[in-house]
Amino acid sequence: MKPEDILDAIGDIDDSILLQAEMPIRRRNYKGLITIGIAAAILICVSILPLALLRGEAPDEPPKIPEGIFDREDNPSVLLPAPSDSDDNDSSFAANEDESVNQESSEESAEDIEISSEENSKEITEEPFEESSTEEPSFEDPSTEDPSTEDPSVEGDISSGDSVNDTVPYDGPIYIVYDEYENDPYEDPDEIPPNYVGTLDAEKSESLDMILLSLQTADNRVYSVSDSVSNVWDVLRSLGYNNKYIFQFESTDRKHSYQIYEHDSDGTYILRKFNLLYRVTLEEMADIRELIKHLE
Amino acid sequence: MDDKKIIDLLFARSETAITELELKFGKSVQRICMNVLGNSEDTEECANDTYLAVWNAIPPNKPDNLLPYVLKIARNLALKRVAFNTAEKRNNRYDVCLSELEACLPSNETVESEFSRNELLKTLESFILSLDSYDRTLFLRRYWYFDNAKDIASYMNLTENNVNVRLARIRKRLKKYLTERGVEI
Repeated sequence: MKPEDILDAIGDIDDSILLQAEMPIRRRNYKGLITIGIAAAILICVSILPLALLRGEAPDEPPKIPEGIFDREDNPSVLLPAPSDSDDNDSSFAANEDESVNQESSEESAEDIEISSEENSKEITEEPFEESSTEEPSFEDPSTEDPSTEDPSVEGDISSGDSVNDTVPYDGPIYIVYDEYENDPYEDPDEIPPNYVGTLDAEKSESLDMILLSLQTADNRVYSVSDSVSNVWDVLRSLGYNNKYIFQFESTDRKHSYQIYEHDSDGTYILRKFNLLYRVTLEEMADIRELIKHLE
Repeated sequence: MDDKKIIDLLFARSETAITELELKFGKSVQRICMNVLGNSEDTEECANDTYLAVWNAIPPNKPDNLLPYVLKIARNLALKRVAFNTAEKRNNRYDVCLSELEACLPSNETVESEFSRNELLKTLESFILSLDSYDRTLFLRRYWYFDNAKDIASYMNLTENNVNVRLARIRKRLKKYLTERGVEI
């Protein structure tokens, strides 16, 4: 079979199929983004405004959110870290508290102002994921968790929408973060050979079209985008970024893997490094960043 | 003018039909010819040949959908012209002799090869139908209309790179699809 045979055969496909290529094209993803953006704006207005009024601090103007994108600068309450004076026993909150010790007092006071909107902001950032905080918060029961993954300094994981970057500023390039577990070739981190390099196959590549959980920028802005990878690439380009990604795929059992992909010039995504992490701790995030630096 | 009226004009052997064909499908015909041939002179000739071929084919044929019918003729004529131009460029005596003798030889199409071709066509059709509408349009734009990434990007409101990425994925899927169905590549 030669390529000419395929082209020749394509030339004889049924008219009804051919006519479909003449039909008007609908750009499918941005409508979803717009819808999410509008829904988020309404949620924020409904939840923040009454709270602010109760405190006697009505905001000057409602948060402004561009289409489908949650901009931290425009909407600072969306991605605030957990309150340090929280009464509950959430270990991730405790970790936040530990990390926030070294932060400047002015930052703490700024956080205090927005503490009451924490629940709402978590809800918004977690909106695309069904198995997020409605079933369980961003920690596991230590008794059921793999001992190797237990870490008292556990930070909220990325997939659940907690902003790790809030406590660990990252000034590197932009990355998309996905979370995946099901299709990992290596379930045990110890099995991963050093310098593992793989190439995505078609099915794997298709799985990249899952929902994008979040998109983190160097200046700590986090975008929640429900889109395909290729269209997210458009978003990245519009922001002036290129080439480098981390994909974080959604997981069902709260085990996460992080994979760094480089967008190749010939239009393929190449898996540059594979790193399986059961939970994202501050230390592990630091490891990822180190890894990224090496790749660069 | 709708397709049915144009076909009626063709059946009535009215030359207005050619004008109407050109008015209605001229751009599409020109585009596909240009995509294949790459120069305006050949494109113009190929487009005219297309209208003549439609004139000769209808009647007796009476296609349900005139657009794909016309475009298929245009595509086939353009591909034939490419083959002709390529052979002309080679222009060595061996090729000339070969092409002269080609007409004397019986068709090399066997029952098996025809069957195989039909099977391939069916497989390709089912593959195309398995794609979502977005990818299907993208695939057809590229491999039926021979549009380049830039034109597809413009048509589908994507970036060129986005188009290339999607096409690369579709090709991978096609390879897998054909391999699974025993089509040797």
